[in-house]
Amino acid sequence: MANVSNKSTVVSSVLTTTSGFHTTSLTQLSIFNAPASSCTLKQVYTLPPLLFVDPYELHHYEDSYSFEVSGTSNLEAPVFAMDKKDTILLLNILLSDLRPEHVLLLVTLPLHMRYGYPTLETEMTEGFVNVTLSPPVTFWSCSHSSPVPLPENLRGAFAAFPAFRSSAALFVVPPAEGGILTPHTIRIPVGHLEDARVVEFSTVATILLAFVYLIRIAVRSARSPLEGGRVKEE
Amino acid sequence: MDQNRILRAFPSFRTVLVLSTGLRIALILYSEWHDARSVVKYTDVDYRVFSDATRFVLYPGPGNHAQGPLAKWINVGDPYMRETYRYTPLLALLLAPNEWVHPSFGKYLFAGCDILAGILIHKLLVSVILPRAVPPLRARADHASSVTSRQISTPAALQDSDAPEKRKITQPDPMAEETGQRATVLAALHLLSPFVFSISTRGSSESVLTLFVLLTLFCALRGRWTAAAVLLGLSTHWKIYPVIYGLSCVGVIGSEQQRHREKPPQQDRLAATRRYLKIFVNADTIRFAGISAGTFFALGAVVYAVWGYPFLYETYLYHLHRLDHRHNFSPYFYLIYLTYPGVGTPGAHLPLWRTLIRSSLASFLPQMGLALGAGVFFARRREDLIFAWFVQTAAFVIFNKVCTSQYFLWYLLFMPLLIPQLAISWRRALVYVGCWMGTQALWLSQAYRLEFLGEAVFYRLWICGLVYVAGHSWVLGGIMKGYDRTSRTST
Repeated sequence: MANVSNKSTVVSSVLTTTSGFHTTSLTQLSIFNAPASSCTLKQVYTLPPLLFVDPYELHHYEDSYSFEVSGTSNLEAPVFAMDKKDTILLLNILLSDLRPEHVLLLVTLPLHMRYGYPTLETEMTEGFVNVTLSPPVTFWSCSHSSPVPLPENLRGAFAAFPAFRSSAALFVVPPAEGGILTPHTIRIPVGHLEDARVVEFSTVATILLAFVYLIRIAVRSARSPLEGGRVKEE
Repeated sequence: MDQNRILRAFPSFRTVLVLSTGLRIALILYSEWHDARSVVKYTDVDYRVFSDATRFVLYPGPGNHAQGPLAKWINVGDPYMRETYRYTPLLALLLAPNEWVHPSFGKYLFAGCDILAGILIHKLLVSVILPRAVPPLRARADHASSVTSRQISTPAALQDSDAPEKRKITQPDPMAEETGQRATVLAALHLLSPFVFSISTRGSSESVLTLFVLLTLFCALRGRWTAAAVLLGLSTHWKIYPVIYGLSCVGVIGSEQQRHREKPPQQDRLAATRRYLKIFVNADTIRFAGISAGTFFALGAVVYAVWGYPFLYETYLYHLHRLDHRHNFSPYFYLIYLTYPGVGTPGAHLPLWRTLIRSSLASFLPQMGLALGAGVFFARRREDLIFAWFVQTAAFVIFNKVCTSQYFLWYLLFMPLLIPQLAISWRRALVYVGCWMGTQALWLSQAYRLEFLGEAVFYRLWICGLVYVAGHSWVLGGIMKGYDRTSRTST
């Protein structure tokens, strides 16, 4: 990592919940002046296939950041209908020119989970799958005339976003002392494949029974009391 | 009587309209305030989808241009650039003022459609339904004896309105006032229903389609079949399911025609079958079907000419093979999830019965059998159209492979018009309402645990889906049994 004189740190990165199909990543940043006037503040998230962002939802946060997504952003498909690659999300955090010398920023990112592979009875998962989300990497991107070693934890972003290949020096914002920056494990419920037979049979049986019930009533109800002068029986 | 006291105390229709309008405006203003301050939005996700699609249409650019054959002469964008936009481009165009005037314009439009629908409901009740209806919510046994003494001039209200010598229903003033108040109470079921106003003020576009459907019904009940055919074509363009009403319209047109002809004295089975089939296939029904289909295809052709294949695929073809694996009211969700392509039943080759069960026919046949069959069974007279359309729509929704709360609006729309034609006791009605709501509440409780608490309740949620189908089918069956056809009279 290149030397930079900057006291900015990542204070914490937490998830509002680690179960269910929706969560929000909250990253608190302690931001001092940028290393140089050409620097912009960015964040990179590496999202495993089970997690996704809704780009249209992220537009609600346009006062806080703009974003780029590399990878599939299908909003509806389950994980087994997607390719197995991670999605890389790059946030360009907006810093006001008029901000004070030091500011605490909160970067909010809503996340959603896809349906996972249903489990088999032989798998001791109790109907859940765990997915690990690494905390985002926050960094300054500054224009630089000479090559600067690329931080290892930004190599994925560098490959995903060719714009980085212009001469930019990337300076990772370190965690604060005692800061909470550990990977999170999100527990997502999944179905059971061994339910398939019962579900198939019972679903269709219920549908057919309901169908027959309603057809019988329809046939009875459709008999007009006026046809043939017969009065309808109660 | 208590009922009359309640009717007299109920606000006037004008007051109900003002209240409904004010409520909707307040909620839309609240939605703007709330959404600016809360992560959990009041506005429906769908409204964002429509608004984004509108933006794509109005601001074409590199990578965003309509893809139809005429697109090179028309500089418009492609609404289908917006992922999950699966509606006609006309909806995106309708919301153009979202960009020019105010982002909430669409919500005001949808709320306005609600209000117009309420006015139409009131008008139908006053002019057509209530003058001939049985007293609401009375048991059949109580009612039967009073029917013969109330041979009201039913058909006068349903005469072809093109006939200038309108035979008005003459009622003494107190009766007219009571009819008006009854209509107000029933219309208020729509206008002041939290279900209805929350859907439109959250930005769901269902109220546009329900207005089209009501207009179609309005014209059909008045015998304006050409207008009804055009509106049916428009409704079907908007969303495909109203096509099921076509069969009932055709049945009514054919039956009315046949009633004017003298029935031959004796008929063998073949002749009787031919006579029955002629109900559905004759010059008038072909004309109706032609106008309706022509409207549908003309609209489709114009839209296709501009927006091309993406319009066809997203608006119609997508629904042919959509796989809704995520949880929704329909119990099919779990079956789709467990049998989704890419999720194998390990090892075994499936037996034929399981292959049949997994095929689309297992759901499609019962659904369309009931949805279309109800149109054939019930729609023999114009006054039966409300009941027929209600049953057709409810059956379509209950047996659909995907079902969200908004779908219920498609048949709830008819309830204020249907209630006067039902001979069901108050107690039984409350049981039906309780069952209808209770099965949904049960499902929602499990869905919340799955989606937001992350509990492994797929199986339980699926069971709730079965309970939903059974419960709603039972309620529908009860309403079908309670439909009082004995008040029909012929001239």
